[in-house]
Amino acid sequence: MRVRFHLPDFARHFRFNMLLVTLMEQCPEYFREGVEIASFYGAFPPSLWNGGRFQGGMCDKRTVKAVTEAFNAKGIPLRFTFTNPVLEKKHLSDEFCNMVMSTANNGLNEVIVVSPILEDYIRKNYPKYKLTSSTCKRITDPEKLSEELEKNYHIVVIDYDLNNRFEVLEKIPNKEKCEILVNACCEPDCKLRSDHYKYIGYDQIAYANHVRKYPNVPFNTEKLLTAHPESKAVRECRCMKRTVFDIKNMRCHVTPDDIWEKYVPMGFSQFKIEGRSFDTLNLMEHYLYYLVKPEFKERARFTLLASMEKNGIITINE
Amino acid sequence: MRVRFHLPDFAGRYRLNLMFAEMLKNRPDFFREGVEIASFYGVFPPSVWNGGRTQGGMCDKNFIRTVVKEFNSRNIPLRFTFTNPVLEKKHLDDNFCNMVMSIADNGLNEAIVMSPLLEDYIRKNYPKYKLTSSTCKRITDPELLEQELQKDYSIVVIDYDFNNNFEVLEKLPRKKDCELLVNACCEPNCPRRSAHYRSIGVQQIAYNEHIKKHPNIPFDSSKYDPEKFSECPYSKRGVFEIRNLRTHISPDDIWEKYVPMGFEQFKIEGRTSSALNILETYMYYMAKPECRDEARFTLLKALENSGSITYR
Repeated sequence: MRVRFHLPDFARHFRFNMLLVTLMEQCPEYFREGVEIASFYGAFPPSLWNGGRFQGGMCDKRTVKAVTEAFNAKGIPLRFTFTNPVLEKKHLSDEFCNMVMSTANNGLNEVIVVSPILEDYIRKNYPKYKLTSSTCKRITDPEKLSEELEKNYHIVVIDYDLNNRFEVLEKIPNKEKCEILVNACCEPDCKLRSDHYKYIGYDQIAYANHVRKYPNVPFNTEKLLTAHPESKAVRECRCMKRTVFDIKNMRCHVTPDDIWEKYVPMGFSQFKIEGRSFDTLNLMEHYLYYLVKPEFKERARFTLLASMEKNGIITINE
Repeated sequence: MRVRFHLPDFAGRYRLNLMFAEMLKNRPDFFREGVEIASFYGVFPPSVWNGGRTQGGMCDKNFIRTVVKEFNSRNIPLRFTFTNPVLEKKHLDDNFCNMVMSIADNGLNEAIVMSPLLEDYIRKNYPKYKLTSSTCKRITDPELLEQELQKDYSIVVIDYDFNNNFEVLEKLPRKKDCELLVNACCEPNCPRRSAHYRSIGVQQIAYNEHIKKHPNIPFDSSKYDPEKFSECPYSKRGVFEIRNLRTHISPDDIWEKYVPMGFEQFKIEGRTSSALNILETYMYYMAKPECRDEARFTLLKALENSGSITYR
């Protein structure tokens, strides 16, 4: 049995994610049957091609190289969330994103795509990358989903609104190619979802351009609201603040028991845990909830926190 | 039903404990039936009267006043671990300890005692303090324990070697005034326990003399530990390692055995354990098992939001 998880943010959560990898190596008995890390997804900031969640910050080539090598050495792919839906042709030659693609161009790493022009560009220029079709495409029509699964994607991330709709899921061909987003914080059936991704895309481009021109001036997000006043509704959305304890009763929530008792027996084997915008404690609770056997949760959490403290990731001033 | 816990270290764990007290008040639904904080025990450093665990550090009068006020205003007593077993007459007029006793002398706060000399001194000079008879006395004879319970103590802390010895415990008078140390990290039946407490007492006195004379030079505790008690591996046991010890009292035992017998006061030790270990211990004993994850998360987030946990 393989139960493969795609986990968030190799960059911002680099050290925490490395601790998780180490814990899995050293205490495999803590983990549920068949748990594997399929990838760590995310982007190195400032990636103009990034989508799904806005990401600020900066990093240099050495960081990109070191992080890539650290995870790849463990046999774990990075998967770039290059899912900005509002990219234009002029963005394809972005120096930073192309540097990242070149640095990680070893056949192990992967990319998630939405924009057809970026997808074509990557297929042509970086053919070694496996491509994932993004959940940002918001494909909620079962027929369209089947068509998407026929295309040349390594993985297709299923829209969260199809979660737990077993009459649809049952009929999906190529279940092994599907990836299920298990812990969506978003309101089911969200009418703003595609718009939200769009404005995140605009913000990301504005941010990348800003730091290139004015690396020492703080980025003012208010300007974005002025440029796109219609984005007010999505900017006011507070769903991303939900914790693991707040999402468990939502219709689209997939529990760990459901993964092992329903989804895996049906033939699904890939699951995405979202969390690029989570704080470390919330992300840790998600990992413990999904990956760790309930009877080892407390020990695993204690070990992770103690390791974080020992490694200087957290300081506790009582 | 009252299940009253005495919790470690109001000084070194000031923020953690204050936030824990707030959580107990604001989210009673997280906690097991009847949980109350009976006291936070410990000392303000540097207290030459301190015993049980050596405590380094320094603090000033403002800090003492603030800590006393914050806990007392929540109706939670501080209980001073003035259990140094090797005190001499010359230590009784220690300025710092007397200053602490004066500041907290409001009838709510308490002291744990071991040295008869200090006990007499406190009874005479600070009669408002309720006194607890310390577990450091190592009273393992049931008859002597019964005699101790006849004395004028508000609480007697039972030796950990009586834990789960229901034959003896059943016969004890004044069960409500007995306090059981539930999470002892020590090896049951430890032959060196009393000597260890004496050694800690000697160290505490040496520490206080040292910082008076050489406030800027680090204190080398190993000089005062010829029998190498600091190397005792059992003191490193955490919340997961102690559960199979004969003397361990599980939360289920508290609610299913001890409370029905009439006991209602329980001590959680942890003045020298890590913050994470104490947090996990609080969750283990006081949070409902089904609420532990959320209670722990809430407390950690509160620590993070208040700047007590920082990231790098």
